[in-house]
Amino acid sequence: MTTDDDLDRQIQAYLESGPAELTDRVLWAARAQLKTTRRRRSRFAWLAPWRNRHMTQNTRLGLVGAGVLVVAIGASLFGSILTRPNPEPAPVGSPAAQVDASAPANSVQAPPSSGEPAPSASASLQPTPTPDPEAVRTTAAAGYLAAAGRATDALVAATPRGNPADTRAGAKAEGRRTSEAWGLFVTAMKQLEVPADTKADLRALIRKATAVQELYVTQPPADGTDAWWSFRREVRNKFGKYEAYVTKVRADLGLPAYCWEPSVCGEDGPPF
Amino acid sequence: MDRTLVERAIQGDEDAYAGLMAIAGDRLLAIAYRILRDLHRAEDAVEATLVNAWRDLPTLRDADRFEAWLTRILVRECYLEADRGRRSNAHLRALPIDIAGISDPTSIIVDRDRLDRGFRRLPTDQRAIVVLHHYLGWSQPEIALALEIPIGTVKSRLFYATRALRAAIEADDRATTAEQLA
Repeated sequence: MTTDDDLDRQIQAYLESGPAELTDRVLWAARAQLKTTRRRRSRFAWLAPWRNRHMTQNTRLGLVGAGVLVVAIGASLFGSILTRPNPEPAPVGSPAAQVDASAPANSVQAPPSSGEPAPSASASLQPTPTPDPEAVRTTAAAGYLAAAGRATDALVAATPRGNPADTRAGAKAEGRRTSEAWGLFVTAMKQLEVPADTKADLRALIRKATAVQELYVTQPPADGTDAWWSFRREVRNKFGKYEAYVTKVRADLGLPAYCWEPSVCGEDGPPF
Repeated sequence: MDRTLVERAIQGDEDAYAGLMAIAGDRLLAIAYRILRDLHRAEDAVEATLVNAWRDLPTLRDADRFEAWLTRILVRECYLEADRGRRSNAHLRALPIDIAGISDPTSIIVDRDRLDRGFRRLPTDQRAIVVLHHYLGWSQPEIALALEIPIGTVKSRLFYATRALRAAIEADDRATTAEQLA
């Protein structure tokens, strides 16, 4: 039987391990979005200016004084109206009799004639036209193709081809080039305007793309060793997951499926 | 957290906010990772948190509450990220993973593995409470205040989470004992 203290200790020990540092990439990505992010304003902030912590004490006192002055002037005006002697005695009769009897009845509230169009109050109530989903999808597809196309060559070049003669230095340089290409790819993908139902999949795709990119940077293969083969297998594994996401996103965007086997489709298969 | 930086950021100073991001980023990632147990999802949650916090910062009334306020946004982003994960995992192709050489029979690894399995089975809202309580060391009233939920909800989530984790460990214990008896 595990006691409460034992369990608490086990949970705390379990939660101890984890990443220690947020990568600069995430900070840069967040920073890049600040400029285009519209900040929320408190709707009724102007009604409560005293909540503005940056107001100086003098300004606060001035505002309070002005408020007191307005109230005092208002009160004195109101008081003078109440106490003013009425110059004429109130006429006898119903208040309706005070209305100019010569004026036609419809001069007060003239209804629109049947031939005239109704007041266009409803014009402002008409819903704003929503963008055509198909157009949004087409734009997203075009953006996706442009972004993905830039990474194709680098990705193909960097996928291990089973040549143990590759040197560690060569692998590092290749990894760096691939990383740069994937960086462009990920940045472009993040800027895409995509339909809401595709966004989650695109984010997953970006995540996988980043994972593959990091794999190249952090684990350059050792030449001709078991580690190299292990690395190759891992890349294949990651690439398989990435492939699944690409297939899903392309289907969502209405693009033809990518041909992953050039030997089957020939060199003229659909673009990446 | 530097109050001056927070006040400048509320006024729209991007550099001040960048400073706050650099200060808070590591802590946010640590919390998000422990809730989601996935580095890439945790990074996504942190990125969304930092952007949404910038958007909502003008509505923050008390600069001294910035840290708790930011944590609340992060926890909400973690819920969303966990939801997305559940949906996108449905499209994942299952690939064989080579686990040879990973298994380690030491008891530490075994305990950790049991706890990990139990933790991953918890709903995200219970995970969040466990992390805030056991990792950040927040008391139940502090959690209730930060997440703006009733303290009764905090207590019940923590109770059910603890019970589930205990059950995960003890179920494995029972299974091991039964195997030994057999």
